[in-house]
Amino acid sequence: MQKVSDNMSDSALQLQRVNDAGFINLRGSVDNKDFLAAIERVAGVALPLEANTFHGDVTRAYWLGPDEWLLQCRESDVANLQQALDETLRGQHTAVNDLTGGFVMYGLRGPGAAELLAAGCTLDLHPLVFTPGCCAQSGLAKATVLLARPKSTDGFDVIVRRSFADYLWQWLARTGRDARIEVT
Amino acid sequence: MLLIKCPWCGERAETEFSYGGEAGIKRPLEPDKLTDEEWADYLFNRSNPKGAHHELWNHAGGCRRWFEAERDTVTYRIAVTREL
Repeated sequence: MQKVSDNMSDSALQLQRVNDAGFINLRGSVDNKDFLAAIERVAGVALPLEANTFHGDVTRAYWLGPDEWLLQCRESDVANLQQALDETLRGQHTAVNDLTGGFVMYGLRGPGAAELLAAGCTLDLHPLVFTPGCCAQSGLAKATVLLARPKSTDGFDVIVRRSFADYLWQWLARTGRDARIEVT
Repeated sequence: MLLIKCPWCGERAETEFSYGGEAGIKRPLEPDKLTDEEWADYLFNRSNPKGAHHELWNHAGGCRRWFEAERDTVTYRIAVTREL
């Protein structure tokens, strides 16, 4: 991808692919305290029970629905984590599925990130509304995505189905041209 | 654009949702014992009111849950949405 700006500090926007992210989809009941405790013990992150929020930093748990979460960890840790979850949850009415192959994650950094996303998304992404720690499944330029605002950096993470990944990458890069997006 | 309140995710744009038809239609317990007219009535006939209408919606672009909405078919105003 062509570099639009040579000076990184010049640009209010940077787009990069996050290469070492793995994803596990979790289903289970919030009324099942054993399930919630087991996840926290094994994955090291508590499942968020509040809608449209996520917990954690490197290992994350995103709220997807009232009984559904997405665990994100390093790609190299996925197999071990899934095995540990399978063993811990054996016999319980839950589901643990490795979806690493199905998703791609992009990091959009810089103060111009919300404005860029707003060109293709109906969510209110203002920092007072979509605060750090918020996530949402929504549409971005006609692709279904999971958007998250990390606590540790300024910007957004975009998790998108692999089949839409190239399209969305090109959309982000082109839509960001006016803001002199830095694509790496 | 309509804002529809998903009972789980909160208010979202209508483009995230898909319509699922009239709500509250129960499948007959013993379909074999129905006449053709009764079965056809269950399958095809809907209330189609002018005014308040109980509907099923799916938050397809979000949490993918089905929920029930009460929508006015004249004004499009959605009075209430609730979990199934």
